[in-house]
Amino acid sequence: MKIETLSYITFLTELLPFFFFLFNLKKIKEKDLKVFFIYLTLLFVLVLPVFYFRYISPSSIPRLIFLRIFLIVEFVSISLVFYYNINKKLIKKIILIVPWFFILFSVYDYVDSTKGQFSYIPLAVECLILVIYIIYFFFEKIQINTPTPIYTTHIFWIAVAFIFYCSGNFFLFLYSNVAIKNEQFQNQYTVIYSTFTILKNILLCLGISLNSSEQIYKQPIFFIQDNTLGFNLNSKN
Amino acid sequence: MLKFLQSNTTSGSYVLFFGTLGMLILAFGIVGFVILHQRRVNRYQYQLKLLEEEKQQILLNASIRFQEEERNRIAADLHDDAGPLLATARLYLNENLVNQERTQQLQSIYSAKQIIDDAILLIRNISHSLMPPTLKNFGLESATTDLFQKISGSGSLNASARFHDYRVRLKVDQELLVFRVIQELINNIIKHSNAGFIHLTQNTSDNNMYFRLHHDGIGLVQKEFDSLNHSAVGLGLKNIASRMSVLKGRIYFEIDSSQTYYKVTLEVPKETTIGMAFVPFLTTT
Repeated sequence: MKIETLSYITFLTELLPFFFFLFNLKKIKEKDLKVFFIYLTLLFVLVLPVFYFRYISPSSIPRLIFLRIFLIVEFVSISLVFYYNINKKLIKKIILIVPWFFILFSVYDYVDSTKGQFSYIPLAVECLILVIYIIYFFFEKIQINTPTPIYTTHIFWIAVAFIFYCSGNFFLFLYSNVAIKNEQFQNQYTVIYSTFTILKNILLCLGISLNSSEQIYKQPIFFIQDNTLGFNLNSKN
Repeated sequence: MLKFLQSNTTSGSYVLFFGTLGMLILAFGIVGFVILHQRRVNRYQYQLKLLEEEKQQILLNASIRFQEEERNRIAADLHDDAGPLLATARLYLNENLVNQERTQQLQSIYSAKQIIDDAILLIRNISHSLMPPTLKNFGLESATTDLFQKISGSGSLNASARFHDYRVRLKVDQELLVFRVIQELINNIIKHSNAGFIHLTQNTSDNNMYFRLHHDGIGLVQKEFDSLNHSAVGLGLKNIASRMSVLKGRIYFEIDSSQTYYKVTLEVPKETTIGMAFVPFLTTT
């Protein structure tokens, strides 16, 4: 398979979760899924111009601007998705604050970087923070007792998709900053990035098509009701 | 992908390869651990639920059996005692009564009256054993004190009850349940413990009310109570457990550190009535 074909496929799979979401639109009731739908819609909207400026009318500057916007949108929306799924108030507050710093950092990085060159540092930072969110999310999940298996919930698959995507690409993004000009590395980059992106999108499709929302486990009440016991009993036996 | 990475032998490629591999193993490990952990916890919860259901089933069966035994006892009391009494009274008041001499008539009527009085007393006793009037009219403190006085009056056992702080009464339903539990405990002490004294004290805290029974006979400790409660025997103890469940309270069986007497403590969450302890006095007057 040609590297270029893999790139095309990756672009196409980026659109898949959006369509899956559209098919399951009626099921969406939770806030986190609504936020996620907004993310997928923006992804859909932003992937098209990126595709256009890369393959149809190649122009690096507008493409890179769209990529940077996409990066911020992705980070903010995924943070919000986890904000709605994490219970601890302090962590929730942190999740709300961190995106502002990330936006500032991205703007600074854009101003600081050479024109026409994409900086991979914000990407690596995004991956690192998302991996931390997801680990914390899982840590909370193992503390809460739920009757439904965790893998039947949509958020689990979203978390799995992003933990694989972020952990798989983290070193790639870190290394890209110094080696992206190397042609051989570019090929490696495309292969690794495409593999994890396709995997992420497949997992997202899987998560979206799940219907089960988590229910907090309530211990059933086994106490015998008053009328069952009968108060007219004499306890002498 | 491996071929791609291996073709580039620079140290950077190795860092990339092993770094990515390490991160992936970490991700797999985390996801796998979460799934396995949740499955294990769910399995444990399921087993716990089954055990709880089994326990509740035992309690329910015990309470049904108890109810049936109670019905049989009342039926036996009515059939064996009240029935013959009323039948005898009927014999005295037969058709020949009008043909008898006046003195004989008076004698028959007097005998019938005495038998009917006995029947009334018997029915009253049955009714009182079903619902003690003292409890209904004057509350738990009076009913318990009354019960202890009766036991003490028999001379076989020294029984006393002291309520330290019962200004605010429990709900009527709760009082009845507590009274039944106390009755059952005393019943067991009299039957099985060979005790010389029973002493009941009542105390209260912010949220709970405590009733503690002391006796110097052979008693139970918590472990024994729990094991009897889960076994097929010990109907009375299961009944106590059921009633404590309804009360949402707890019961502790202990032996004193001096090993000379046993303690049974009932912890009942307060759900007090609006009125004070004096309300029944007002309503009955």
